[in-house]
Amino acid sequence: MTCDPVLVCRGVTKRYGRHTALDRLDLELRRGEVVGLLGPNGAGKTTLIRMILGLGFPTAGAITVFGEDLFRRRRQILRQVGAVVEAPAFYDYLSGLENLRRLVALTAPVDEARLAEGLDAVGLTAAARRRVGTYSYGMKQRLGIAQALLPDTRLLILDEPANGLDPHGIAGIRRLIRQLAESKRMAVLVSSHLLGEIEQVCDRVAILHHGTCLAQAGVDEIRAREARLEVDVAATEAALRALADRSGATQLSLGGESGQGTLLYRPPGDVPGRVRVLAAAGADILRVQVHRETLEDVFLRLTRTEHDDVRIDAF
Amino acid sequence: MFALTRFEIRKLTAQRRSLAPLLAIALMNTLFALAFTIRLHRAGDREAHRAGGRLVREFMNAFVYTQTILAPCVFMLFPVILAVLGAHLLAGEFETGRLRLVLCRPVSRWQVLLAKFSALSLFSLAMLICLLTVSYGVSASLFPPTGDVIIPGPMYMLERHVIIHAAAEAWPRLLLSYALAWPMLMSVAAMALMISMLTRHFTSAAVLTATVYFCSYIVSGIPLLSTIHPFLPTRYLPFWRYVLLADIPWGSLLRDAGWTAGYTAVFLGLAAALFSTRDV
Repeated sequence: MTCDPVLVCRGVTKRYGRHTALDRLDLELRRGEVVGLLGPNGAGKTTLIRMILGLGFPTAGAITVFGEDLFRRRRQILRQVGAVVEAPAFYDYLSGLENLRRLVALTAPVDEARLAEGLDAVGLTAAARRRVGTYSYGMKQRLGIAQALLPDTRLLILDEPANGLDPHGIAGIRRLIRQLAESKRMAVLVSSHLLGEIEQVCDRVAILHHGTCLAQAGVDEIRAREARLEVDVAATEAALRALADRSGATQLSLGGESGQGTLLYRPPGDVPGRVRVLAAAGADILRVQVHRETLEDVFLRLTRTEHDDVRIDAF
Repeated sequence: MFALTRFEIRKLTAQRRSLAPLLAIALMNTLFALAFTIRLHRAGDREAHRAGGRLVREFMNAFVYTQTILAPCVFMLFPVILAVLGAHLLAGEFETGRLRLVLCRPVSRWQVLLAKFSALSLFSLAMLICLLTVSYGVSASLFPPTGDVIIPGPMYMLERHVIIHAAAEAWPRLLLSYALAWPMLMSVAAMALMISMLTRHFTSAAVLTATVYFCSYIVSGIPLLSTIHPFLPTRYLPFWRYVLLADIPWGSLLRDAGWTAGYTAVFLGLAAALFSTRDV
């Protein structure tokens, strides 16, 4: 992966009166990279996307796209940016093809063959000449992706692209995003509630909550950071403390019953090696368990909130 | 900018609801003209022998009809249509999120606003041309196609009670009055766009534009509020009516045209200022 910075957000803050929608958010996106924005409702994902597209104005901070200041060179920058923000709101009385043609022409005129290719990429060739008013939500979503890809997109921003899509559509979007990032070296920023999708498609994730970025790292790194090894051992308290020191345990929990405790290793490290060390020290090992968290576990734990926050669908 | 304007025009022409005004003009003219015809040809109708009836019978021709129909359309019908279409194009798109789709493209907000204004202006011109052709076409098939033109002054907010133009000069005056009504409608369109940016809500924008426009006329008729009359846009907007006077007061016409242009620029400027600072 190259290190060309495509998008850089530094200290981006957005306030609406007393409410802070985004608080000093930093984000980087590189060429060929897929970054996922995760967060419960009201976390600030769409607000951030709007700022990146110049649809909203940050209260503080700077946004640079392709090395240029967004608000000074917005029009030049947007020539290479494609986006779907919130629900795809097309002109219902125009056909899918005409919507695509007219919208893409605002960036640069493209020939009919490329428009047809764009529609074909999202499986809408057969419905190209139908009025968008007759489209299902999923079809509109796919049309949104088609228009975001044309004419020459280098930075693709998709806000909840899987909304309204059936499992075939979701799998198609996933394949398309990976293909764009890998073969065309496109930088892709995706916001989604579907953690499993994000886990499969993204190289890195940023978890937002109440406008603050709680974690930003590679998907594997985030999961590994939270993984742990637990070893239940039968020994006296003094022996347990000695075992913990010798084996490099992160934490020791003494059991309720005397003569039993749990050694905790975070990260798990070399599991067979640790077990060998404990056995060699004469420990009676009762149980060995590696806990690996899914992205969903991490997300739920980090964004755990009081139930009176009505924006979050927690109940 | 060209692609944006074409897109806006396409939005107006692709929707059946946008074509409804043109259909209404055609239908309204047909009904009015038929009503006049029936009235004038009913033998033994006592109404027809009264002074007003006689006047209508003697002076009714296609020129009179085409000139007369301009007043209600330009004073009332067209401003309402433009208030609705202006609100639909800007506040409606704001509300539905369609504006976001356009603004994700490399276009400035100024360009978007100007494209919408251009589309509304061209639509106003289309309404005027439609009115001119349909009203003349329908009336010429029912009444004499030419003749002297009688202008009832109060109907056009003119001080003279009745003005009569000879047939020879009626036609250029008719065309000029239609042409000069266009800037007035453009100003109403600009007002609709400005109010759309204030409310960002379709219904509120449409209702508020129509309310401001009609209230401005009402206030201009209240002598008690004469101190604010010079600031009312409707005082200057209908400058096209001056061409109906026997001696056209070119000075007044140009002054009011200048004020109308100024108001249009202010409406658009305010709309642009609001648009450029609002999150979409």
